Amino acid sequence: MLYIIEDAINGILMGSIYGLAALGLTLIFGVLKVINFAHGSLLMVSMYVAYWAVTLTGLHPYIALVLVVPVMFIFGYLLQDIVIKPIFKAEKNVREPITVIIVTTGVWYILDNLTLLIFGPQYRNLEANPLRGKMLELGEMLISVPKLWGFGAAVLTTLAIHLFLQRTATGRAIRATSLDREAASLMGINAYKIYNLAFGIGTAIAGVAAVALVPFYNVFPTVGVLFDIKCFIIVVLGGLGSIGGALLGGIIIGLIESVAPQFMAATWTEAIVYGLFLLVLFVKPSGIFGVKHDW
Amino acid sequence: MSLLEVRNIDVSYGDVQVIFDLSLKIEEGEVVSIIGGNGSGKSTLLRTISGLMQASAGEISFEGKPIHRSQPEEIVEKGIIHVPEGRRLFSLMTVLDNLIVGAHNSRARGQAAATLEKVYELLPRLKERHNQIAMTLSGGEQQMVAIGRGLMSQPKLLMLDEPSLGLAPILIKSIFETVRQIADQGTTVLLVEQDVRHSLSLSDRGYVLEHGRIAIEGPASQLLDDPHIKTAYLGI
Ligand SMILES: Nc1ncnc2c1ncn2[C@@H]1O[C@H](COP(=O)(O)OP(=O)(O)O)[C@@H](O)[C@H]1O
Ligand SMILES: [Mg+2]
Repeated sequence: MLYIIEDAINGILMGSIYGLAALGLTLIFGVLKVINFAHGSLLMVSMYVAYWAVTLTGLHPYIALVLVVPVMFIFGYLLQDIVIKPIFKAEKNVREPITVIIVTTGVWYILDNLTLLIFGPQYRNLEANPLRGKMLELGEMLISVPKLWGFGAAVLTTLAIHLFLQRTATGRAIRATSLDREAASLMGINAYKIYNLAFGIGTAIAGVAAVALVPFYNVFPTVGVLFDIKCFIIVVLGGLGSIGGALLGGIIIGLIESVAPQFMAATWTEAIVYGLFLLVLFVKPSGIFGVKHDW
Repeated sequence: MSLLEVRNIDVSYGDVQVIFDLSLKIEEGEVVSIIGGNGSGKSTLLRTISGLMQASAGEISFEGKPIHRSQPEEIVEKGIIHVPEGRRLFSLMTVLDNLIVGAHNSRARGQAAATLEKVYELLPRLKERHNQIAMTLSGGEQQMVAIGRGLMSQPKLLMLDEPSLGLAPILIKSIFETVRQIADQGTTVLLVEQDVRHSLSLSDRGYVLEHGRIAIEGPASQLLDDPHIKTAYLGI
């Protein structure tokens, strides 16, 4: 029994980090109405930035945050401004800008292959970092310390994004654009600037997730693909565009992944995850926690 | 120099032209009505003035400067505010957040708190409902939010697209009274309406739009007596 509780706790912690990775995806979707297939690759790039920052400076892995977050914000901002915005402009009157989705897929391929070219296929990890393998003893249970910190980062980031969207002028402009782009432009809001910002923020959040992951997770060129699929499922579970839903969706996936193997062959875990995904799509396509979206 | 001058514009949706060689002028302080049946091109005209659509020919100038190549948000900065047909509120945001977003432009932002007080004075219902989600309001209340949100941007020219659409007669009366009050406080108003009697009786001048062309124009009192308007729009 204790093992199950221990697994459940570690699953919740890991799941919250999945949720953190998915938060940026759901934010970008909420505003641009486009699934960003490059999101996992942006997480991967963030992990490399964090990895090299820590390896080259020898600083504590979490200090990489002050570098990774602004770098990834600028990266995402410019990616939207230079690569994606021209497509949006060309398809101004198209309701479902499918070409934009194709472009984000292209960005995914380019980033993954460029990384492979530059850094090679090998797995890298921060071997001698103070968080690696560190456990907190709770009675007889062992709780992963870096995952616990990741949980804290996920909760704080979700809260911060929520407050930013609710309380600041820029946050209100982002919500307004998300709800009705044309009406927002009649209020003097430049939708393309809002898209740049949302993309920058979404990518910066992937940066936070990367810093949480790097102390205990391998870094390699296709690591983003693992997260892409998870993030997409989480975002659908939580409700596309739902900020709190991303965290809760992530925790559900983390729980299933950690507890289910106790009761059945591990391959069944994925079947459960995909089954749940399909069930939600059939029964409540707005997601378990989503209204249309909750901001 | 007129506040707004539209000169000989043509506007099309793809291959379909809906506005033909249209010209009009609005002087500062005036209330001007544009009346016309469904599909005559009233909304298209407003969308072109506010920059949501581009005219394929002709010019539009505001305070003497051309605006027909500007983006909607630049036109808002200059002081033209378009309250669109069907209200187009930010449905999942509160009344207060809708109003605050109205004051997004740089002229209005610094004075948002003071403007909000004035809007609440004019539309006290909005103060009572400030925490309510916009989509849960009644149609009349939603129209008040739409007008209030427009006022928050400190318009020099306020363009209203069918504010009475879909409202009960008693609410229609109160919406038109609000429009009159806004005009009395010095805002120039361009009012697009199908409710010809109400809109002309509070306007200084009017234009009748038929099939994308100005059919008749003149002082509002004169249009109310016009035999063609009486038969075609007033049902007398
Ligand atoms: N998005 C659109 N695409 C194509 N035609 C349109 C569109 N919107 C309006 N129209 C056409 O343009 C004409 C004028 O429409 P509109 O300006 O909305 O008229 P009004 O506001 O006076 O009812 C109508 O014939 C209408 O069918
Ligand atoms: Mg119309």
